[in-house]
Amino acid sequence: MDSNTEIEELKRAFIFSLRKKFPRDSSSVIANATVNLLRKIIFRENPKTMNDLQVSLANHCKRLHAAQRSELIVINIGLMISKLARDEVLQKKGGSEPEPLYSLWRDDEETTEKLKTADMKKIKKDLQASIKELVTEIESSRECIASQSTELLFNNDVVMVHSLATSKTMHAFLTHAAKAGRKHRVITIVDEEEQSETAPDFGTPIDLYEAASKMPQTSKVVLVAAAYFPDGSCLVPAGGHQIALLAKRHCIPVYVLAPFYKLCPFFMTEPDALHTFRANTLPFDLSAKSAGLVDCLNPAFDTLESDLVTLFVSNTSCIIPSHVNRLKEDYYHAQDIADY
Amino acid sequence: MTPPASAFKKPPKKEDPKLTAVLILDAFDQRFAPIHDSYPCFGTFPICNVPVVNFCLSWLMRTEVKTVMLVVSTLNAKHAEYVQNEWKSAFDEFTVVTCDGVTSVGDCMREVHNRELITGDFMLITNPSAVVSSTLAPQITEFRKRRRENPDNVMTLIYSHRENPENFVIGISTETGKLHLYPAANSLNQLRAEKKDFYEGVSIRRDVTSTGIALCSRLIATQFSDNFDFVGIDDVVREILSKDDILGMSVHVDVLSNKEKAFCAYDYESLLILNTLMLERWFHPVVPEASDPTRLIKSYVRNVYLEENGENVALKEMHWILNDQCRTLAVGQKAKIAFDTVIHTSCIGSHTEISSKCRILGSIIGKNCKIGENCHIEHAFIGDNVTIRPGTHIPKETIIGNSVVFPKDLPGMHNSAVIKSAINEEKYEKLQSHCIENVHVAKFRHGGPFWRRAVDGKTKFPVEEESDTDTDSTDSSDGNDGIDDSTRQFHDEVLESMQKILESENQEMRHLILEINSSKLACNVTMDDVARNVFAAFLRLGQNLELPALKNLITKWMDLFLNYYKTNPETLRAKTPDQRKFEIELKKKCQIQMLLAIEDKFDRDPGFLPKIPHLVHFLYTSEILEEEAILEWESTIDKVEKKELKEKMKPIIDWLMEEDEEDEEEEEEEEEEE
Repeated sequence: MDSNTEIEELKRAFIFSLRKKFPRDSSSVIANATVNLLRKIIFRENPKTMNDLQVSLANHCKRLHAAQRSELIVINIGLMISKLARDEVLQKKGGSEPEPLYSLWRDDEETTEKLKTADMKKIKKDLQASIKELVTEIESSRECIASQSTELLFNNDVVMVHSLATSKTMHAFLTHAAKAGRKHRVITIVDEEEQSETAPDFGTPIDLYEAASKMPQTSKVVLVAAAYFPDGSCLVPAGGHQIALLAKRHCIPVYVLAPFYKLCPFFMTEPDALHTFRANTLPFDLSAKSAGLVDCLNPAFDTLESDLVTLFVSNTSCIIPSHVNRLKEDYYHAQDIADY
Repeated sequence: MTPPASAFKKPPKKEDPKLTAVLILDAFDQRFAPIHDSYPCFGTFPICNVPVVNFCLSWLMRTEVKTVMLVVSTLNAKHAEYVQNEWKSAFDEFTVVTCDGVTSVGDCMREVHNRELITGDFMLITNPSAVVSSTLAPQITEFRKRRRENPDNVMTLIYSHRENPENFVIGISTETGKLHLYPAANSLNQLRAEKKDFYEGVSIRRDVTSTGIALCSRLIATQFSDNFDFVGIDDVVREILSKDDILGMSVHVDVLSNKEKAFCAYDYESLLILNTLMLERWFHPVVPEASDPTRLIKSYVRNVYLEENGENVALKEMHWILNDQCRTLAVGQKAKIAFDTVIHTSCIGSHTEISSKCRILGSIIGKNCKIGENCHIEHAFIGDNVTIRPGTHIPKETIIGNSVVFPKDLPGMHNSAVIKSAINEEKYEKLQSHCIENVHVAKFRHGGPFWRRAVDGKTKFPVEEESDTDTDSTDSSDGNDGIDDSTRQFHDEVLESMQKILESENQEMRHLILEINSSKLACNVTMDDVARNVFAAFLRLGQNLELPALKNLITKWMDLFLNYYKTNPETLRAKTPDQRKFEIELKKKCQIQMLLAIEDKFDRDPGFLPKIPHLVHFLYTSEILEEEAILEWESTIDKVEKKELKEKMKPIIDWLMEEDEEDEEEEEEEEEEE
């Protein structure tokens, strides 16, 4: 089997593994699977120059994302690996530190030349090592976020949370605070009846329509991001927008849990392109009469503008929305983003 | 306090082998002949521009099924291989089984069974368009539980909770889900229920739709190969229900809850319904954008789906704008749609051009079509490369084959399909076509519609309305010799097939038996009626008026009589003692029925009387009739009304008695006294 078909097989298996899971796996599992997939692809394609690597990664990620629209993580991971490779090359070649202001846009010509001519074979080992570091960083991100709960939640807080049942990170965040001895109350908003039965005992389950009446008692709101963008806006599971608006009305801080791999480095001008729809929830016996008349508007996510978010809780620290753009520089290279 | 039996059963419980899925890729229906060029096998039919089998497989990969067997006729082997290439990484094992010259699901199953590919319980998907939203886990667990309780619970049929357009009706026990009543093949929307069914808590359900999915034990495959006239799973269900007491097997039905959605398509009408339901996301997580392994499809608001070219996928810009009039549709790559068209609930193939001011409702349109201005298309199925001139109105339920240039005013479109070249009448013996202008119009020979499936799914038309009134009046017409219409119909059909065989050269008994069996299934008559009417029909053959000719033909057709009136020692050996006893009893009853047929003949034609003793004697010596049956029959003959017959039979009876005097002296005396 030549390497190309092998790569196609790998990609298909990856897509199948995503589609098989319903409801989907946690995002850290998906992020790790993506890293592994891309590592294998790089290993098999064996690109000669940095440029080749960048182009091939971008192409693969585009295809994978097109097959599974809701997973922006795939693109993020691809760009991160590309940036890691760049750093390795520059370290080897000993390029000069780029000038801060100019670097926002592009590398100087000397560095570009170096990147073009660099022999990828030499840095292959180092690249593999830094990819492994990326994996550990992804794995530890849940703990890192959970550990910050002690700085954000205090005694006698009343915390309103959303999508507790589906997010393990949210669960870890709340349990960590409780273990640290914080005495807070948790109000959890559930979408479906089944979830209210399985809700953990530290939370009081309520329906989304009750959120407005409970909001005055609440002192903090915690949401989970599905993706967040450099302009400080983010996607949260559907229902989050309503909660955030209520919180703003009552001047209650909104924290959004946002692991670094969910940071999507593009400015999204058009939220429609990101909308993923969920099921048509009508009972099936209605389909005999209503087929052809149904318009299914059941988006999976809401867009939160940056003014609705107080803090993003990322791996390393809490950041305000306007600083997300700066965080982007840590993980992505401007050139990669521009070329994508 | 667990009984040892259940303790013994526990070990296999832990290691339940995963079900194997047997998926049949073809549909074996001649109504799909007009669009055969575009979509040679049923699994490739485009629903939302995705071959329909992909939906089935993407559902299947979420279930516990890890082994898939794709059964296909040799003609379509390359499509199956394509599917295999695309999907094999999603399953542990994905095999393609190609069968030569199969014409029905039954043929496929026989082939699979002959090759001994089925080793345990399996999930039979007879229709590649079957789509389910859930994983069926509770249904599979329930099936296993029933199998453990009683190995004779051989099959569970999955139905979804939705009214079906055919008004199909079944009777299920409310408590256990056991299937009690199943309609006969010639009238799917009628059931013959008896009073006792209602005492047993059978609910008659019309609010269910078949999904084409059955959880089966290995015995079902055996059923197919034992009865080589079985066409589909329905025949097996009918067989099991009608021979409930012999086979001792039972079929259960699981109706899915309202939250679990399932559907399958079998004709043009249901394909369009499936297309609409799919576009409206009823089957989430099986949705158009996440079901094809290679195509990239993006979903937009208003149920709009666009297929994208894999080479330049855009992350951000919405490079495609449709007007507000278009909703619930799937559009292929590079299709051009004018800004002022109205399209609802449709699927448009790639590279198709649709000009301005068109109205397209509820249609499936293939690739590379050109549709002129001001066209009006409603509920149509259009193949590839079709040209439709400006201003054409395409009537409802039209089927247009490949590369047709549709004439503007085509008369007489009812129940027909428009195709480019004449239909191959040898290949599709049920169809005929004639030329109008530059196209050909195909029709069914029996005049039935293309669009909808015949009520029995076997393209037999029309359904006799008479049977409607007769089923109502059966109770009152009991005086009518107890012969109701389906029995008479059966008698006539048998007579007809016998005459046909008589005219044919080699007089193959196998074929005759086959035809009688299928008439039996179609008319839904009991085994007793079969035995009686087969011989009655035989006696009515013109040739059999003279005794020597009659005797001759009996010898010649011995296979037929052996099949219906004698037990076969070989098949008997394969059965359990209980079943064996039952089988012998049954055949004895059949022999009595045969004699009753002779008696009937005498009632109608007194001149037949002198021949009866000879005939009975001959049948006895040819070892078709057995002594017990003759004696039992003789004892039922009315002494007063049929005095002559009784007298005529006396010598034979006496002779029979003498023969085994030694063995059964006492019995014999009793009989003589009578």
